[in-house]
Amino acid sequence: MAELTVRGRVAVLKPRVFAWVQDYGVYAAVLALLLFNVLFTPHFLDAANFRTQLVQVTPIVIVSLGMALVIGTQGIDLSVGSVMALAAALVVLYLGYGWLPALIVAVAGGAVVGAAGGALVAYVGVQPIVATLALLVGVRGLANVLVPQLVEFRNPDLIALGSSSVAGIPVIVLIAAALTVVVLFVVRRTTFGRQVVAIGGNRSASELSGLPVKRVLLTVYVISGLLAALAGVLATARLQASDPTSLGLFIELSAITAVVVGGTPLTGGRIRVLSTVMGALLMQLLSATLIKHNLPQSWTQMVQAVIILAAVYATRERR
Amino acid sequence: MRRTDLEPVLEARAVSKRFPGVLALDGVSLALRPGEVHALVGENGAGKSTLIKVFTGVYRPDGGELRYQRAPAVFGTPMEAQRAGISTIYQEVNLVPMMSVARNLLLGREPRGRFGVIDAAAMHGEAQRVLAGYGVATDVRRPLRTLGVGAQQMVALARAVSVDARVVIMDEPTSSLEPREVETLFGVIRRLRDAGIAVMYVSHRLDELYRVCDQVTVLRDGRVAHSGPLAEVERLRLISLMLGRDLNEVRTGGLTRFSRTRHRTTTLTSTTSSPPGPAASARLATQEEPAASEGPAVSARSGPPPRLAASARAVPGSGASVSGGASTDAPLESDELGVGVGAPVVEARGLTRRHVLDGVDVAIAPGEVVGLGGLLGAGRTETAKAIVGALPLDGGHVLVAGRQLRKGTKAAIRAGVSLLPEDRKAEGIIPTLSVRENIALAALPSLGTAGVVSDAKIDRVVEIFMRRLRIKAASPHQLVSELSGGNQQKVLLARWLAVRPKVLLLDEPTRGIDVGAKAEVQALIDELAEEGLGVLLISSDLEELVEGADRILVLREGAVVGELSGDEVTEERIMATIAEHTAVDQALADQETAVQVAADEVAVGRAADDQLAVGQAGEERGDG
Repeated sequence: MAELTVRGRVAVLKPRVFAWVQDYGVYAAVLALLLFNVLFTPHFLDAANFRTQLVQVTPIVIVSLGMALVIGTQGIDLSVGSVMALAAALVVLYLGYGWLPALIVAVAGGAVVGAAGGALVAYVGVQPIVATLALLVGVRGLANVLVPQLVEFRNPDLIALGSSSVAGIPVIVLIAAALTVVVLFVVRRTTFGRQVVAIGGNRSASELSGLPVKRVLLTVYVISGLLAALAGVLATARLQASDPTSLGLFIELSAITAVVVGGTPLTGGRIRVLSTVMGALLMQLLSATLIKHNLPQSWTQMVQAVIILAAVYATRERR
Repeated sequence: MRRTDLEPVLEARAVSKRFPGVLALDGVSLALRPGEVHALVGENGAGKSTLIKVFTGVYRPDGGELRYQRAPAVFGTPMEAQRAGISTIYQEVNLVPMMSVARNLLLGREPRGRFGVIDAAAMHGEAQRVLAGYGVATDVRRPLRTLGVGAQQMVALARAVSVDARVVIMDEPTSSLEPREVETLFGVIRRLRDAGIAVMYVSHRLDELYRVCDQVTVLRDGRVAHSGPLAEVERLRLISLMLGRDLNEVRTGGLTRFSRTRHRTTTLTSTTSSPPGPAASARLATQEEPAASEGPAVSARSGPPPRLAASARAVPGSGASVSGGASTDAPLESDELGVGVGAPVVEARGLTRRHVLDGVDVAIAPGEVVGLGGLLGAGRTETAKAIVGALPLDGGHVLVAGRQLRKGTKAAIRAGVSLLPEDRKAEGIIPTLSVRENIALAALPSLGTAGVVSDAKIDRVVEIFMRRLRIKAASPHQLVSELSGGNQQKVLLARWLAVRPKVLLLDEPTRGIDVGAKAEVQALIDELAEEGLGVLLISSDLEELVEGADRILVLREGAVVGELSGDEVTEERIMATIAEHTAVDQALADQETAVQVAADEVAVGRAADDQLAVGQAGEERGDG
């Protein structure tokens, strides 16, 4: 009998705990890690250290913003890493016209790839994972054809974009922050954003409600391509070299991890923008912490796996 | 063909099955005897599928006993039931489309050669031989998917029967068959019967039942409403048994919240009528909450606003349908309504889709409630979906205010036609979103500027409808999936009212919601119609249909078979119309019986020829 009551109480408590973990778990984890580092990691509070960490995580944050939108529609975009590579290739090819035209061409290239994926998903009805997998392979190949090996460049404007700071904060970090605010606004406050969430939550209901389902889906993939291309340009600017063979490799996995750890369910219908950013920060902080404490990379991977599983478990419980 | 003297081969004795919140089967007894074709009929939720699943081992009964071949039987899995000799053919063909016909037919029982390797030649030979008996003459090495649906169905049937079946259960086997293929199927059924196999035949098509079935069991609300020889039950009686309406005493006083006088009067109010739209919504906002009333239905809404009591209502005995004669009875202010009264705001013409709709015409005038009657599968839901452009059509078009509607639901909604879908969970609510966002969903583009939503506007609309429709939620921000069914339905109604429709198509608006919410929804429908909204009402609840609708179109097998208006709108007239033989049907039936035997032979032969032709036409060859 006693056991029964205890179980009953746990049953009442459990959903609440899970709801809390799902909503604020990432924040709590980031805070806990920060606290741990403040206490046990020497030189952690140095500004230089923070800068390095933020600069490193920036491309992942930008890519995962687009990924969060796509996952919100029950989709997935595996092509983001290859889009980064394509953008890196395009930006050096067109750098002769100045950094801005080159940037525009690179971002437009990303949008075209996104449109191709989106059209396959929305109009042809190909499963997102298949459509974007094809692009993952093909676009990487295209980027390598355009720029077969690493190309260094000396355009001062582009180098400045990658390495200058405003008030001590790297420009690319500011750009990522601005993009986060924009995506947050789009998701929360625009008709388009609400339609994205609705389509992910129940596609046939959205269709019956007269939502432009196909157009919205297409747009979501275009945005993801745009953001990935931008991330590619920024990463290239920071490297001061274009490297289409290895730039953005496996970043789709990091982005998906950030989204999932942030509590956006893969089943769609919910987009958590800030939590996604927190998810990316958490993974970055985690690997930095373990490295600082001289644990091998393989440890990081295993801990990351545990966090992913925990996040998925928390998301699952709510339904 | 009665063989009641024989021992039943499969029998349910007082079987009960309970699901959370529902008693799906309540002491159901049914006996299947060898060599009989037993019809199982009933409306949605009557318990047919549950009973089939008990028979086939998907569910285990909570109470009662299942007996198979004179011994108590417990089937743990569908596989066990199948091994024991109970085969089932489902509505949708559930075979493996990419595998060859022969493999599908003999899956799991392939003839083996040495070392357990499948003997392909023997397999193909046997498959060819078996299928020839079902009028399917095709290259059995071809992938199954290259066959027509009918032929696939035949393969499924052949497979089911060749597993040494003693009982064959067919769940709506003809829903995707061409008439000729139906003939072949009936030939096969008769052969099964003659071979002493018991057949359970589930269908909504009464003509078919009367042609092939010997016995009938009617389920209603999880109980057996009737069981006996089919020949002793006339059509009208069968329908009344299915719908749960006693022919002799159709109630006069209703239980619904519709005002009883609706279909004898004009729906126009004398002074305050105005177009549904901004004004209607505004009025919804300002109206006081009517207090809940348990009074008789005649008083309909408690605390009706003055305009509802307007003298133009309740012109007795005119017997005129609203669309036709109403205009003569009441002072009209059609200018206020935008569209002339009597002139339909929505007109669907010749809606046609293979196997589903057969030239359906529907016209809905402002302020009119048009009911769609008919049995399950008669094409009611499909008609509604076709009108809002959610169902691809082979023919026909929809006019809104005289202009032809473009494709897609978006165009329909923009033109002012909205559908409240039957399946609230799958097609209605967005479970991950809040009440507020679910209400605002369809109206989003109009609730903001330049693509940025206005919280103030949304809050205002949401507040209006939550109060007006009395949506019970902790707050507008509560997840819609946490609400009760009735409140979810109100949220969906609010979603549509927020886009200010001219016509609302309501598909089973009160199904699965509690009594209180049901009454509220019914009262609301009535009131919206008073305000000039055109309504298409689909309901399996005959009483709801009769009391709610001004005019009723009766559908059967995808075609309108009757229109009832004025005094004709009664439960018995609806049932009679469903049961009615059209002259053509009758002639066909007569002809049928005369040349029955010959027809069977010919049909089988013809189907075989066709299959052969199809087989030769396709170049693609699977290699088994």
